[in-house]
Amino acid sequence: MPLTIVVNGKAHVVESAPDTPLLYVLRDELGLDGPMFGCGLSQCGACAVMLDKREIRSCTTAVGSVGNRAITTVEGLPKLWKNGAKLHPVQQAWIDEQAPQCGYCQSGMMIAAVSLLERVPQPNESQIKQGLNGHLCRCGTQPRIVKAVARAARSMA
Amino acid sequence: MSTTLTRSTLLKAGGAVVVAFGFPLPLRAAEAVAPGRPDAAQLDSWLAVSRDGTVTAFTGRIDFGQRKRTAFAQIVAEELDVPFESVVMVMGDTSLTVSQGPSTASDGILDGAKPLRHAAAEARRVLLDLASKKFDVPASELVVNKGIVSIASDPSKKVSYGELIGNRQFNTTLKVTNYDKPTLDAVGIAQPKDPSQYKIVGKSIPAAEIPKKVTATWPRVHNVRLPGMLHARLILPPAPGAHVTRVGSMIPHAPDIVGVIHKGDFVAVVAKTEWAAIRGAESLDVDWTSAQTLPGNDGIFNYLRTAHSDVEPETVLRVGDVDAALAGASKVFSAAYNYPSQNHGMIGPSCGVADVRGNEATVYSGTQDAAKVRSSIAKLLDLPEQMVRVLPYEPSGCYGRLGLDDATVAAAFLSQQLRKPVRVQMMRGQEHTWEPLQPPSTFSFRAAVDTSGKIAAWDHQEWTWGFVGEELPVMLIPRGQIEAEAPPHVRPPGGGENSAYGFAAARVVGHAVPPLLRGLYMRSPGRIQVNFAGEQFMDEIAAATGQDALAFRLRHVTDERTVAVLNEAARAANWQTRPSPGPDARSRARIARGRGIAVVANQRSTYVATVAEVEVDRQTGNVRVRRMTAAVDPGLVVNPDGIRAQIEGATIYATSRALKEEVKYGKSKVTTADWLSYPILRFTEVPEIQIALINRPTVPPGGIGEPPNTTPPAAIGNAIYDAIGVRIRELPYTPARVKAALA
Repeated sequence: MPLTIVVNGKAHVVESAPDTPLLYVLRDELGLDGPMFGCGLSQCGACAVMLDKREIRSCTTAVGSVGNRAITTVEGLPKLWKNGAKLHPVQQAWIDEQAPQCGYCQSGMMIAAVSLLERVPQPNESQIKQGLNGHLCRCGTQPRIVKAVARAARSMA
Repeated sequence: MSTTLTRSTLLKAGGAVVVAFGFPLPLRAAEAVAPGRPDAAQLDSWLAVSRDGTVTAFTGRIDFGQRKRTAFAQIVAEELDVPFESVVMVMGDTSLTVSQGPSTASDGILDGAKPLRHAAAEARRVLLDLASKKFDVPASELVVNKGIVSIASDPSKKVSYGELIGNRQFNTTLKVTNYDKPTLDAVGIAQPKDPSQYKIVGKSIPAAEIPKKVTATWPRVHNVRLPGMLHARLILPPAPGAHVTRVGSMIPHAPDIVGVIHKGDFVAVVAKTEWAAIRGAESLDVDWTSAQTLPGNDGIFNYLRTAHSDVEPETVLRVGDVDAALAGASKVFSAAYNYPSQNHGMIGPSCGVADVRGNEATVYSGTQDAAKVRSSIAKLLDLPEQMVRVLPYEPSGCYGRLGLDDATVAAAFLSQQLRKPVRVQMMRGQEHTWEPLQPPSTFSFRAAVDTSGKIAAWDHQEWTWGFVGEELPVMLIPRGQIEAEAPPHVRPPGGGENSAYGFAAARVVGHAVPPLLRGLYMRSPGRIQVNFAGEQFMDEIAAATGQDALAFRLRHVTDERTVAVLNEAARAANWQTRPSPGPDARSRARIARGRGIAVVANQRSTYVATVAEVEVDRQTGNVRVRRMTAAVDPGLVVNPDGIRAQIEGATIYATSRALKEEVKYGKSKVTTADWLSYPILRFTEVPEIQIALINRPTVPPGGIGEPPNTTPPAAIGNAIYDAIGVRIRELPYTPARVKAALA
């Protein structure tokens, strides 16, 4: 029986087998560009998406395990913030701090930031670093990301 | 049906940056021009102005997020006197842009932007000429503001660039030097602006692509999706040198598996979905010959020093009589250093997409060298070069030439076999073990020191296996065809010839040994290794002779820019003048603090001094880098925030290399196959980065991606010595290595 998953506020019937990692369903069936394949091992965070209010690694989450919980990718962040928003405050902060270089890891980074701010709305620098520590960036954008998360937290207060 | 992509359709489309039209290609090849590429001698090959005033600037160079796109557009807007926002960059497309060599070696602004700057200056001259004729006044009486030309004495008389030439050609010839090379330049009659007149260059203009990157709408090779596109995964050998003896069956995942493509040692599984390709490749039963070509992890540096080599040692620098100075010196110091093999470590594994139909190939690639990939594919697929179009798409930041070229060529090969578009992406373990790793190096130094504590002679030898394979993608494809064209070669990575110091006698010799693994350039190739070793050896001599590390360096430096970055880094880091080791080295406290400095002069015309401040935990051996201060003189600063981003990134990248990174080998293969076995720096380990930027507006802009990545390993090593009084002569500075050194 085909599965139904809820992604960025919309229900989708998908053809993939239940053991398919969510990442490939999001990218290849739904055509989303936010979650990226980085390792397939839950080690880098490039594939991170929100499952309800917390970050998960879509490369190691079987689509059949998701059920009817809400999946949010970077494409769905503005709507998660408020209907009609063009950008989530985290995305705006990323622009204001000119955080990305290549940008490959940044979708996962922003998901991690949103997930952190759900748990800790006004994190200090150490909490931000701890909160994002499971995410890797090779360009060295970490200092700007730390500033961007703090900026986003201020603007969401 | 194919759509012809010409300059005029591009202009009508509003100068869309990324276009994916088919063939036929515009054939404008002239003699001495790469086939099918625009002629650098035509101003129209560099710039086009549409009726609405949009300026499309074409460059053979590409940008992987280093803000070159922004900096190039700033330079064009500045010379043309148009608003920054009206400039659209087209970068790297082999059908639309001039061949300017690869985008490597931090020379994007240094060399790559030069012809565009000159072309934009010339275009302004032509436009003023047109306006001069229209108004019948001398060009000298005209002024330009935001793309509007007016008469200085009568501002009501005005005409826009769009009205003057919109959608028409300049038909102006430029004088070209160094065709197809990174140093290509194209100049007209006009002189570019004097830097004192700059209004747009020198500003921190935000990058236009960043809003698209944060919404996942910026084009990226990994996200290219073509109708009917198939997914492929490669089955790579279990060891370098292993050959396929049998390709068996796989657990069937019908109907999504399309097939197995096997030619020579190249094996791939192709499927309709990515997951099916992954599962298929994992389960495919392939037999290989066994191969043991590696000396194991502990043997790698011994191999470098003892391997027989047919390549004559290369003396890259010889000044004065080193042997006489060493023989007659009051003191001679010597030391050996080891720099391990390291991994570029792209977060996104290599990916390429290709659509080969009949005798036409369209290739979507994250390559840094579209021209090489294009010629490789043409050879492999037996197509005329002008029928291969390479569309550069941003990959994951890659910091050197790596598996992206392999993935692109593999995709093209598979697409030709299957007559469908094919996307290839490596798995993490494949990327980690098969990407062209940075080769390991080992060094021996001797220095003669006179009675005043000054270096009288410097003797420097390096052993490495250099870079392999003419930089062609030789790993994955059926090899015979390409190897015959370009046999593997070795060469010392170099860098030692560009010392910061003017020693009276100096000798730098490079030994290239046969490669055990394919190696290619990685951020600051050659220079980071030489700096790690040489700048620590400088420190050893300073410490042994009781001299402050900064003062000791300044004794050996005469160049004004080198002196300036050293002093500026010391000032910004609040450097306390004293010899190393510092007071904590004599204390018994668990945490010992120290600082160290390292300098690199004239790397890609840029000067950097870095001060590292570290804490060493004597119990665990853990080195925590608290702060890195980089003083950087890149000449003219085109975009200060963009340059700062590069300095931050380069400093963090090299701090990671210093503290954590080492590719490990068994006897048969690379064993560091993921981020656990090959860790890189994490958020909690990233130091505070302090930057002191020295802007020299009248000095042409130098490179920035590599120079600040050169000095951190030595600066950190020197800081560790300052903290604990123990010298660590091999990277990385892992807790185990530090503990062992303390024991």
